[in-house]
Formats: sequence, C-alpha cells, structure tokens
Amino acid sequence: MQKDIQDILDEIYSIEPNLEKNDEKLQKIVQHLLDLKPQVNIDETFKQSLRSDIMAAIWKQKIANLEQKNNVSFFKFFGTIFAGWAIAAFGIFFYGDHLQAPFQEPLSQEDAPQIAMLKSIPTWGNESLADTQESYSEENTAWDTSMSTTEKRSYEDTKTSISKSNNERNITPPSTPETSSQNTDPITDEPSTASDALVFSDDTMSTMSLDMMPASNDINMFSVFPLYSFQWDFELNLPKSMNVYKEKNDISTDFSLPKDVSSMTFQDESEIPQEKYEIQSYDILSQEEVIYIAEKWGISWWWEENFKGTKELQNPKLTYISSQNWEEIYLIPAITFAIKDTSGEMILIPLPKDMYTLESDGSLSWQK
Amino acid sequence: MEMSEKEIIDLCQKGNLEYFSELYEKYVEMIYKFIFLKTTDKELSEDLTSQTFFKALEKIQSFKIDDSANFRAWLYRIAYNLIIDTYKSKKQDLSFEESWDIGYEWNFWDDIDQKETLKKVRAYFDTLNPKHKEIILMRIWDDLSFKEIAEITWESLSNCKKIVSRTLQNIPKEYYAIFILLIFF
Repeated sequence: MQKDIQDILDEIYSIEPNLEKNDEKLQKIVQHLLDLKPQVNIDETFKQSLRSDIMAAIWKQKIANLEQKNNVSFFKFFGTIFAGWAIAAFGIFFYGDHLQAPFQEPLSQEDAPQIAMLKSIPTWGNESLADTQESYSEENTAWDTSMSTTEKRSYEDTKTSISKSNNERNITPPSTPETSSQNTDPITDEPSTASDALVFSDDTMSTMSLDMMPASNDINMFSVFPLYSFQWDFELNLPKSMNVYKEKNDISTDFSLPKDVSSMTFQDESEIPQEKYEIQSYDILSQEEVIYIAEKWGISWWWEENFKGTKELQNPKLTYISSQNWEEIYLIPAITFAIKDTSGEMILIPLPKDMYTLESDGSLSWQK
Repeated sequence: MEMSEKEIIDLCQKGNLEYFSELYEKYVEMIYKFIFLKTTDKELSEDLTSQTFFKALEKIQSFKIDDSANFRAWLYRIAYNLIIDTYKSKKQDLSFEESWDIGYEWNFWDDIDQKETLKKVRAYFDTLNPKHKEIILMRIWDDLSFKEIAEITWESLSNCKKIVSRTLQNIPKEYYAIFILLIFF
C-alpha cells in the first residue's frame, strides 16, 4: 500500500512539482482517499450463474456450428452419391451392352492406380469392406493373369508413384494387420502385410473422391467412408455402435479410426496435451451411476469384460474434450465419460447426446 | 504456461470460444463495479454486466488484435455504451449523485473530518460538467488510464487530458490538493 501511495505521489509530482513541498501531508491525504474508495462487491451467485450461462451459450453455438457443417457434408455427400447413381443409371439405360461387367475384361493401365488405391484401404476394420477387398482380390488375380510383363512393370511404377504420393499426403501405415492377411498382392503374389494397408488421414479423406474408385456393385459406399457414417450417427442420433477408446489400435467397434484419434488413451489426465485438447472435468460419478450408464447405453458386455469383478473403478468422471483437429471430421466437443482402471489407464467414452442435458449452470442431468 | 490475453483472444477469434471464460473471470468484477457505481442498482448492474459479456462474446471477432489493442478498454466501452443506452431509453441523465452515497453507505465513516472533506469535494464535484465528472470518476474509481478513458468515451486523448487539467485549474484552492490526488488516485 505504501508503495502505491508513493507511486501516485510521484506521478503527481511529475506533473505538479510544487506539491512535493507538502509530501508528508499529501501522503496522509492519499491514504485517506484510498480508504474512502467505495467498495462494491459482486454477488458470487450472480457471477457463477452468468459464467454458466455464457459457457452454455458457447457450447450450444459450437454444437450448432458443427451440426450445420455436418448437414452440409451430408447433403454434399449424398448429393454426390445421387449424382453418381443417376449418371450410372443413365449410362446403363442407354449403353448397357457396352458397360456390362467391366472387370471381366483385362483392365487397362489407367484402371491400375484406382485399384491400387482401393487395395490400400483395407484396415478400416469394417466387415463389409473386408468383403469388398476379398472380391477385389479375386478380380485382381484374374486381372493379374491376363497382364503382360510390360503391363506389370508399368503397374509397378504406377504403384510406386501412388505410394510416394500417399506419403506426401501424410497417409500413415496402420498397426492392425489382421484384415489383410487373406489378400495377396496381384503382382508379387506375396501376402499383404500391415505396411501395405493404409489408414487415411483427414486430409486424405477430403481428397478422396468417388471417381477414384472403380465402378462395381460390390462397393459399399459406407465401407469406404466409415467416418462419415459415424459422424452422422453419433452427432445427430444415438450412436448405432459405441466407440470405446480402449487401447491404442484396439477399438472395440465396427470401424477403425485414424491413428491420431485412436491414440486417445492416456495413462493419466495430465498426459493429455493441453494445447490440443481442452479438458473440462465434472464431478466424479459414483460407481452406481457409471454402472447405470453402462447398462442404459447397452454396454454391459463391455463392462463385464473390462471391469466387473476384474478391475475396480477409480476416479470415474465426466470430461469435456474438444479438439480443433477433430472438428473437421468428428463432432467434438463430445461429453466424454472417462474412467480409470486399476492399471491407471484412462478410458474415454463419448456419450450420445440424448443421454444427457447440459443445464444452464454447467451441470449435467441424465435422461432417465 | 499461462497464455497472454492476446493469445486467448486469438483463440476465441479462431472459434475456441471456451477460452472466453478466462476473459470473463478476469474482468467480470471490474465491469460490474464500473456499472454499479454508475447505476447504483444491483439488478440493473447485473443485467448490464450480463449484456456486456454476451455482447463481447458476440462481437469478439471484430476486436482487432494489434499492439495498441486494449481489450479492457474495449470491454468497458461496451459496458459504457450500454449504460448510456439504458439511461437514454429512460430519458434521464446519468448521475453520479447516488454513487457518492454508496461511498458513504458502504464505508463506515467513523472519521468526521473525512466525512466533511468528502462532502466538500462532492459539493464541488456536483458543479462540474457531467462529462468531466465521468472522466474524472473513471480515472479515480475505475483506475483507467487516460488512454483507456479516451477509448471508452470516444474522446481524444488530448481532450481527456485537457478536461482534467481544466478541471484542476478551476477548482477552488482549498480542494486543489484533494482533487489532484483524486484524479491520480
């Protein structure tokens, strides 16, 4: 306080040097004036309530923005599919004879990159995609037998260039090799390994277009774009399949995730990179509440496997996680149910939107 | 590492509005006090404080981050404009009479001399032009710099200083010391 007074006086003296003569008297006056300053106190309840209102408005806005984005991508996506099918139907109707069974004939070199690209998708973990791959494997074998050595070499070159191009586009190799074990490379006849399989990054997904894929009735659009279907289901409805972020590359769902997302497993909350994720934790849930959620959400099987009887729950809590990186493809912020098992591993589970209501005071109420 | 105010604003402008809570925490009390000392009405002050922050949230994209940017002044200006609008809609001038009373009421004035001194200051203060009063009060009570006051009131910096110096020149001799201290308080 003494220093404040001196600072004030120094400021005054610099403007009005004559006053310095009365320094002692002035110090007393300043002290008095400091004491006289009206004290106004904000009502803490109001302060907290306004904070909650502001935060609720912010989250509402963020979610609305994401939903809007999603609507746009939904219409874009299905618009593209519709246009594709319309063109295909038009083509079949008028030129049906010329378009029959395109893979029955040897493929041209122009088709090779497209097939190579399709072959490089296998580890989405989606069953229908695995089927697709098998059917392609057969087709590719047929194609391989009809290919000349020159064509093979040319295809090799094309494949290498695609591989390079993929690397440039930040396509990362996955670490789940199971699904590719049955496939063989049409050129080398060697079994495909994990390194053949590619997991597409967000960039790749956005650059992939329908015309990169060969036309075939075996192609399931959603198996090629599983993330889009996930995004759609999760945000706007209940998730049709629950996604459990369990361990790296061990996603107990019917689809896989890009590597950077599946690495959402942390030993401790403190490990979560703060510059990337915004974490907001809520009150710790009771074990009963956690069990209730597990049952309500139809994840008892997972619960039985992972916790009941074998591991005890520690520190269950609700956590908000938002990530800029996710916003483009995943609908975050999601309210995530975070639990920690006895090994100290933190497991994060996104909750479906209609399971809870975010109250204006920032608390959550469950839709029972 | 703690983020600077500019970094926080930048994040908000990039869509990470959740960081706005940090700005809220930092300024809510100041803004409330600023409004309360002008309106002396708890309910109205809360309402205007709320409006100030929602408006800031809505308009944060328009805040230009540069070297001279002052978020505090920007926020005070929003609050100040809301106060002015409120009083305009009520068709009454903004008065600081009651604010002085709050000073009396909320600080137990045990010392009669102090009370008398303040009464004298207040008597003189009431004779001032409302705009001048406002500027002086912003300096005294809200601890705003002249530069910030200039930004909030849309007055030029030199005009703000002129107003203060003119007020100082015109005050009666016996209040001079008190006033000069109040202004630089």
